[in-house]
Amino acid sequence: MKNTSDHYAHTIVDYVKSVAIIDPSQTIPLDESLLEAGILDSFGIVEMLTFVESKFDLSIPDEDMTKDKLGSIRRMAQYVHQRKAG
Amino acid sequence: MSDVQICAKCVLPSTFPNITFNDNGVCSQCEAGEMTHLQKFNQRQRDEFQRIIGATKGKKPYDAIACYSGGKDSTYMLKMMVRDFGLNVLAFTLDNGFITEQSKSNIIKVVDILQVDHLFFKPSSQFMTRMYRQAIIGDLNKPRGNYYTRISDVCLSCISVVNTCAARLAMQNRAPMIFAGFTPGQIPRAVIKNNHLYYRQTYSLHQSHFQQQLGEEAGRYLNLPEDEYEMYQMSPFLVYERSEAFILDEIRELGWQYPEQLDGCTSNCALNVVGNICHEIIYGFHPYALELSKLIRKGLLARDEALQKLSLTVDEHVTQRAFVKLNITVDEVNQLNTRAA
Repeated sequence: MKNTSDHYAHTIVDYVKSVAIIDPSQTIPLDESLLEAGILDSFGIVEMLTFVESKFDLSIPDEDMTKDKLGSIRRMAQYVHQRKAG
Repeated sequence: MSDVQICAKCVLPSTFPNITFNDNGVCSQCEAGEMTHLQKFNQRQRDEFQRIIGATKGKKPYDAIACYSGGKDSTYMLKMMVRDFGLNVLAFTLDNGFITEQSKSNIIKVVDILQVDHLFFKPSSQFMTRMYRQAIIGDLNKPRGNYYTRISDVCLSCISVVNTCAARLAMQNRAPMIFAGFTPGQIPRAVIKNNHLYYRQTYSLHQSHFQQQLGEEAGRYLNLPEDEYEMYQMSPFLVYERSEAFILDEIRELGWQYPEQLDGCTSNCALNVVGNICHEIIYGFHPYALELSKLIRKGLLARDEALQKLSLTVDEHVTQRAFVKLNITVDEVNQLNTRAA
């Protein structure tokens, strides 16, 4: 699974579970905005993007900061996968 | 509280959400370690921070708005802005009604020595009291989703007004940057562009929530004009990491003096202690435990110092005065532990 989109999604989920100040029984959705799902606040979203950039050694340009590209964990994982593959 | 375990490396307690401890008493957040490419990320942050200063400096009457609370961190930040970065700065202080006299005296001295233009903004005390009361007793900052607030409810409401004032001042003056003295434990990035992912969207969610809770008057302090002006939120302490001892040493020459009668986690605001007490009652952990733990992991604060900060008590009369000023009774405080449920 290493370096596949699923691998990246799994890593991001693990990160969210470890840092989100939430009830431990809360499920982390893959296809929903974590902001809208009430998992992270706006600070948490910025922190998660910081994690993605530093963990996967990427710099995300402003023009890619869109809901389409990064609006859920799955989209984020696909974005990382495409960037790493390209 | 005697059976609460504290991490052997940082100061996160066993009451912190989702935390676990290994056999050595080290918490899961310490165990997670650093991110793989953190060094490279930090270098990119430094480059970006310097690039933005270089690209924006000298193009407008004010290069930057400084959120200047009068505390030690923002005082040192102001000194850096003027003396290290050579910026033309408009500093402002939100007088929330709880800035100590010593802090006000520090502010006046420091802006004078640094020759910085400065504004005090004091919102209606009636509104601020209502906002703080609603933050503590009511639903102003009750978790809107499933997360808990990472700072105290009182601080969260106050910082919302500060951020709005800063953004308005930047828009009015076409200043390209807003500087704030957030520590590396308080904010994750050194540079945030105002159109960053969800920035505007979350801002408007926040705004409408405040207006629902506090009425139209909240708009006076929390609405942003329709303006596409782009600016950068700059947090220099993420790029230039400084220890508290270093900062205190650096600001002494500006005549800054440590105010008395404050809790260990603030150097300007007498309301902070109220936020700390209420947060601990509601959520079961100190609101500064997370931030201080991050500073410990970064080597910017010793664990013993952090424990001391968290345990430093304030004269009971001072705390009582703050509660009275907010019109909050002992009974209301005692009932807070039912709120997190």
